[in-house]
Amino acid sequence: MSAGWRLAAAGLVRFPGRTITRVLVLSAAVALLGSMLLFVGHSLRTMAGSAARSVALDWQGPVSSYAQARTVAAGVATQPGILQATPAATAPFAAASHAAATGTTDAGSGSILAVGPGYLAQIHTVRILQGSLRAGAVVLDQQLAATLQAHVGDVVTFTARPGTSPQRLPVSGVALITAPDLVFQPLNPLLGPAPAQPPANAAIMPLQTFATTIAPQLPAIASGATGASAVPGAQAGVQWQVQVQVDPSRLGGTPAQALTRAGQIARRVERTFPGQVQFVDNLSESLNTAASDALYAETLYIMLAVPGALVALGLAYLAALGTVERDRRDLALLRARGAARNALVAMALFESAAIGLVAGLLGAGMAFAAVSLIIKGGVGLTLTRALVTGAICVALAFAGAAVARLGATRSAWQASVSEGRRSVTREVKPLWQRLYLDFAALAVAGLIYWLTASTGFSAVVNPDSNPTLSLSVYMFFAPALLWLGATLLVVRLRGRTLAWLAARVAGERVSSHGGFLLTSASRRGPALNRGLLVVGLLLAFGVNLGIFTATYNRQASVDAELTLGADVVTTAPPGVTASHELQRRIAHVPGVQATTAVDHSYAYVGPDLQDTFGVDVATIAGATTLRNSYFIGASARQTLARLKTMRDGVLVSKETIGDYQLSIGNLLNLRVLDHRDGRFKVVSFHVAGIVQEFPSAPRDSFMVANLAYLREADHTGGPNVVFAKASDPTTTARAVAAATRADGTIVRDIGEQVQQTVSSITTVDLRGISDIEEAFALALAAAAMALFVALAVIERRHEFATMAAVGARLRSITAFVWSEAALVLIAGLLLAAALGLLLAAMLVAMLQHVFDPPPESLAIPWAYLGELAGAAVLTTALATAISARRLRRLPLGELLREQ
Amino acid sequence: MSSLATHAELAACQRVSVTFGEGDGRVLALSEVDFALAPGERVGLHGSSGSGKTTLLHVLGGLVVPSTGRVRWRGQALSSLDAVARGRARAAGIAFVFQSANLLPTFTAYENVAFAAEARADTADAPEDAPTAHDLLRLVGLEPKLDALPAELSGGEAQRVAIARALAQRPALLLSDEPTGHLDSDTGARVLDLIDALQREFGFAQVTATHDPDVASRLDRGVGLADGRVVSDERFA
Repeated sequence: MSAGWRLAAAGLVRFPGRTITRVLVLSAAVALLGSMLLFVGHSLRTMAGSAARSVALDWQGPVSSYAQARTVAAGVATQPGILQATPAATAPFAAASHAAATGTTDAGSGSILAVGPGYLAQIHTVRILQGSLRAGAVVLDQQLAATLQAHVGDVVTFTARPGTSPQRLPVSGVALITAPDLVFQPLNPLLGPAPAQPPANAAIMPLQTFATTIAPQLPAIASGATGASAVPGAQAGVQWQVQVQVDPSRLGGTPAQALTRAGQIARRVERTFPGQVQFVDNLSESLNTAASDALYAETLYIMLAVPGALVALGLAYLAALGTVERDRRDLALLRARGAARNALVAMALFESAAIGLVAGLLGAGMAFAAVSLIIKGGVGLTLTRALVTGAICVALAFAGAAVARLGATRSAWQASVSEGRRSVTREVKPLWQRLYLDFAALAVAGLIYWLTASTGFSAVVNPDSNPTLSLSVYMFFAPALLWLGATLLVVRLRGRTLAWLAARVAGERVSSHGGFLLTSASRRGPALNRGLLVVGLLLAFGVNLGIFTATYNRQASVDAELTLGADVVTTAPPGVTASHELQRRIAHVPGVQATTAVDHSYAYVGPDLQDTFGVDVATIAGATTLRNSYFIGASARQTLARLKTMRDGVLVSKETIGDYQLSIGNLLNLRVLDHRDGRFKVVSFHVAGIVQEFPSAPRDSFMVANLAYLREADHTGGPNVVFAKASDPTTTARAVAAATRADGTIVRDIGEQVQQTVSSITTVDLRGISDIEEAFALALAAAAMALFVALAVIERRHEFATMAAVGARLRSITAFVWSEAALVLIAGLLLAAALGLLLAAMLVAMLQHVFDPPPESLAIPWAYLGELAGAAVLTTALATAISARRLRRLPLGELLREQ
Repeated sequence: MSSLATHAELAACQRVSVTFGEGDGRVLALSEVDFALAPGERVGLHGSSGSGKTTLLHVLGGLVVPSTGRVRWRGQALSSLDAVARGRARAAGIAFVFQSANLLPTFTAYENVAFAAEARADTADAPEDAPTAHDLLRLVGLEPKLDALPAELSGGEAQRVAIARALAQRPALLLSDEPTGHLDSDTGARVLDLIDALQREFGFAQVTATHDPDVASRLDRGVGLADGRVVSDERFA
């Protein structure tokens, strides 16, 4: 044992160059894996954090009375893990009015949110724009303030329900209710969250004020009953409730862990107050979705990164091959001393442990550095995480070093020195070739791909939002088998191709220099194979990664444009767009190329509430992108032309067409919210076309109608959104915001939306990890070529010395190096192009449902692919040039003495 | 000990010393060696292991550059040339036969010989009537093994390929380092007979390092080495 250890240590010290090479290669491989682990861990924590933060209101517990709300809230607030618990209430009002000097302005029905003191400290459902929330006063929602033309200091009147006495309240502020769908949702803990359509009018008041003014005029909704009808805005009475915000720092970890922890906290609180409160858990709903996304993200990261990391470990094998000759000598020495095979294995393990420790720690450091570079604010490295990551990296490096070392020197263990020296023998077909496993793997991969493509199946989260991927085994099988089959097929083809080339160029018995080069290469199958496989597969990893990422990012941009609606989108309070001529003014902002105004409202198709867009057909195509793929049965131009000719025409989503068995020309009665009185009324439309995507439509079910016709029906006062096309969206958005700030607008641009799209919990941010992986792919592919060349020189030093002894020119000898390197490089590039493209196409096809809309073609990142190929070519040239210098200084006498 | 050449000189060493390694590991392989060789002359280098026989062969063939002293080849200062020029000089007339055949493992017997012939043909004074690789392998009795890889040849066959390869260079000087060291006595004798016959046919000078008296007795002259020094130089009848 001690002899093995000493030999291992001596060997590592005696050949520092080789030792350093092995350490660097291994550290690069584990750094790739380590950075992936760190990035995935960070992403998952980010996903959990953003999922928790995105919930404006975590829990809502319906209770029966004001007194119970206060009692329960006080108790819940003292529970561990609770950031804030406060009594609150929601209630409807029938009407609101504002008597000004110019006359009385009325608003229709709406809803009131009543909140306790300190409500806004941790709960972010309301954003105060002007003034403040004061006892005895009311804060108007921005839209209601606009409708009533009321300002801070004015007095408004609320009528709780017809027949009750109006309540006069001074206006102490104007606010924006940021999560009205949650705040005013029906509360049934058994059914869970059911976000509702926001009320047209809303107001906020202190709970005490509410309890003494509005509440007495309305019945209280009993705890546990369905607090409101299915139709939002039709709440029957006062919904007393306890609103709770959970301490996000108590959740921690991944979305799945946070989901579990949030559930535990909720159950514990409910158990502490038995029979008093049960919560509608908005937080768990969000975390549940995030957990699904996290599983998808993990799967995607693994599918993209692991093949590269595994192939990178193959580099360690190449590096270990550089010590084979020394291993043989050590073996002979140990055998001469009577060492058993166990001692030899121990020596390899000792050596691997030493290399693994250094490479693992170095790799972990590289991983930390790489991830820190791409993640703003750092990776959140704690001592525990650093130790765990370091330990994993060391373990991986040790395993990689040991496998490579034992694999490379297997022949030294098993064969005698003289047998081991016979580096060229007639090749015998291995078993896998005789069994045609390569073709079988490719056929099965193709079959799975075909099944995926033909059945439309893809890796999507199942309908119950459980964090389980449907048929995930298939997902892994197809690309994995493609990797395997293609690799084996290349191994099979390479030998035949080279033999055929050699025969064609050189004839039966070669005597030309080119013939010697090809003949030599064709008989160095194992050496070329390992080079080709490592270089080709690393390049394929890079190509696959580059194409998939480029496609993914392009679709993220398309998705962002579709989500936002246009390059720059300005949202204005009702009536402002028309009354303040927003569209015209925005059109004159420098950088704006085209504008269109859109009325975004809602309407019911049967019981389904759907987004409804009133558009100006004449201008919309210029201000946003309308792809033909958005429409079914006709192009974008044709569909819009038809809508223009039908004043009451409506474009209906594919889902609705299917659900209601509609066809073009059919009558479609919609219930549209009339903003004059806050009630829904039936309006007749006729189906003018079928649409499956539309700018800014957030869901699959929506409708598009003519702006003028819709405005006559809903009396909103005109459009509330202005789309603008801009050459520089970010700059233009700033200019538009500056120009319209006084109008109460919210301006967003496509750049901002892309950031949100790729970092939101419903999508996976590939850019960070892909940047790391692309950089590693470049470095590893370059290193692979350099190692291949260096190894060729090391392995063939004796041959080259012999060639020099018989008088071969140096350039002739060098040609054996560069010709093989060129052969491997060209074959590797071809393999990478074909395999990388296929893999990317397969991944995109399998994940097509992740994209909205699905990609029409792959995006080819030519610049990155050029860099990848260039790095490999440049490294080959450099390594060959350095080799030529080394060959010039070969110690011929010393080498030719070796027997 | 004989002085430097008194007759036509093919190659010569003048006060040649060779050291390997540095510091405590420094080894003096040759010390102040004077040696001259006439065209067609057949010299045997004998001495114990480590006496400097192989180093002297390598110095004569330009594989090793002496630490001090000069080596002349056909009147040219071989030891002053760079690696490329020394390689060219070897290609144009100096051939080796090593103790191990040192065949190129990726080439067949034919290709090993053809490769050396091609290197020779790439020199300034390449002979126009050079025998082909096929001819040379037939000459050494290996026509049936033309397409055999080195791993498929016996030790004697491999050494005969090495001899054919040396002949492909049309050498003026054949440097042999224990050419029968790895062979049994019968095979060794046949290889020596072959070299003798070829020497008579082609007339090249020959320096053979050996500690086998049978090998030495076939040659014209014997040079004894000990501890890197020439200790005897005698001509046989």
